[in-house]
Amino acid sequence: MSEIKILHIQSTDDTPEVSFNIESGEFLIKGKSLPENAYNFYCPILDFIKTNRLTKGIRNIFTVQLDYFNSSSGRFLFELFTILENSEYSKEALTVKWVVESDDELMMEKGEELQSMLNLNFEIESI
Amino acid sequence: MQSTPPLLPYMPANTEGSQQLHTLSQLFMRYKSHDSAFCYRGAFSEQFTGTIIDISEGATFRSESNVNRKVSFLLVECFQNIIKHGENLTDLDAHLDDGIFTFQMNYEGFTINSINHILHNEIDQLKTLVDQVNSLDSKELKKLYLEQLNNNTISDKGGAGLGLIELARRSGQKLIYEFEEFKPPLAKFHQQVTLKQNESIEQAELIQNKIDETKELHKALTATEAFLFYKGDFSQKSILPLLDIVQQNVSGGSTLTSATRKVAHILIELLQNISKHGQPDEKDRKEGIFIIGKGKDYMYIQCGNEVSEDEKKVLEQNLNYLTSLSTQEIAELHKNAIRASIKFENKNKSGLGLIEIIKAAKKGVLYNFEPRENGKYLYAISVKF
Repeated sequence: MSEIKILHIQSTDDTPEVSFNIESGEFLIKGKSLPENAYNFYCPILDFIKTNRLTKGIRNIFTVQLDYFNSSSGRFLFELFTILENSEYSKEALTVKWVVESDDELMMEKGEELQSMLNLNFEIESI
Repeated sequence: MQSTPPLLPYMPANTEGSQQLHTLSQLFMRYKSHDSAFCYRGAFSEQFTGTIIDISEGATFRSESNVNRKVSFLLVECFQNIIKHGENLTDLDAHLDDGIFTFQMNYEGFTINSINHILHNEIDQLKTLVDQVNSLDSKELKKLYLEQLNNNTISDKGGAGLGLIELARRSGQKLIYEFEEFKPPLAKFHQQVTLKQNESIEQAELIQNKIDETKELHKALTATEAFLFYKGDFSQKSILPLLDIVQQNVSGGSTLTSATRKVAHILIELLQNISKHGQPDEKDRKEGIFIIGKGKDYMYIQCGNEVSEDEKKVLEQNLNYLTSLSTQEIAELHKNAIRASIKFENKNKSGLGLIEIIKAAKKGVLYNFEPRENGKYLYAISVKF
């Protein structure tokens, strides 16, 4: 019997909601991310991605919808994307969806920067 | 590829910018011995009430829960009194002379000062009420409070003078006040409420009239177009509620706007830079000061804290280098720093913060290291965007 592998972290005043579901291929990071100690927050998230194999045969979508994030969170988001970039999965099997509100210049700029740095299916979606 | 001109010229002395850093430095000196000081200048909104309490809880290290409760109570009463009884200014008048709400904590106690607008023809009634409240002892105040509760003489603005009575009762001190002429039909009402830190401090020693000091602060903030001033601990607990008030002021509501996000982004980086890298003081606090202001088409954040000679050297070198780069160069450096950061051993000191700050300072940055008597320097930085 296969176990459903789920990671769920509720949002707080300074950390985002995290909802990862290996079986459905849906991965979400949403809210604000500005913890003083970003390492403590992102470590279990990176570990989860490193230790769990993504489901094959489906499109795994990583949705990142942040109002803002601090520089140390940015460092860990980049590390997350780098893990995905260097993984065994094909480009087609993985998509990063960077969701920004239409008037949010800052998050748009951040998304474009990451897009230019990564060899990933990195879509910027303006809502 | 043609590179763009340097983004961030260091502004020489006698410019508008360095005058603004002068204000920051003066405020730093004035409030140096205080545990914390906070000032908001602008429109007062009901939504701020909770935020102000959060700020005071983060900003003050109040050990006694009794003092805690009293401070929260007094803050709410003062603030809501202004919302209930204050007159709103037109946009033009507000630009000229907005109200302020300020609190400060030092070894003597907790002081709340405010300046707000009332109708000129309300002065006599208000003066009579405050004088009456100030003439009574605690038993008499209680009696008056109960009378007023039953009396039902509620003014058309929904108050019955109960707020003032409660301020005097709960603070245990006389209310300090002053009226000042303003554009008719308005007048300005200055108020001070004080709470003793502990019973051992003599009453006479405690009650310092800070109305003139508040006027000066008001003047300095108005001159620099600042709407928020904070001096105190820069831990996350202190920083987060300040973001709420910035959001309210900048976007005029609870929705996040592009401008709000930019302020939050820069403010977080500046304050966390101090909170992470700054040296704790003798009370194990990482202390700093900041001001946020907005002009017609720009905003600025100024931030300052004390650094050692060694820290100054490193910071100055980094800032000199970063501010010499063009927009494109800084964008490239930022990318490289992110790439490099994931290889660093120390996972919480990526060195990205300062680059982020300079990158976001679209309308210029300036910085200054002012020698202090204790051999340290006041490191002050102003970011305009």
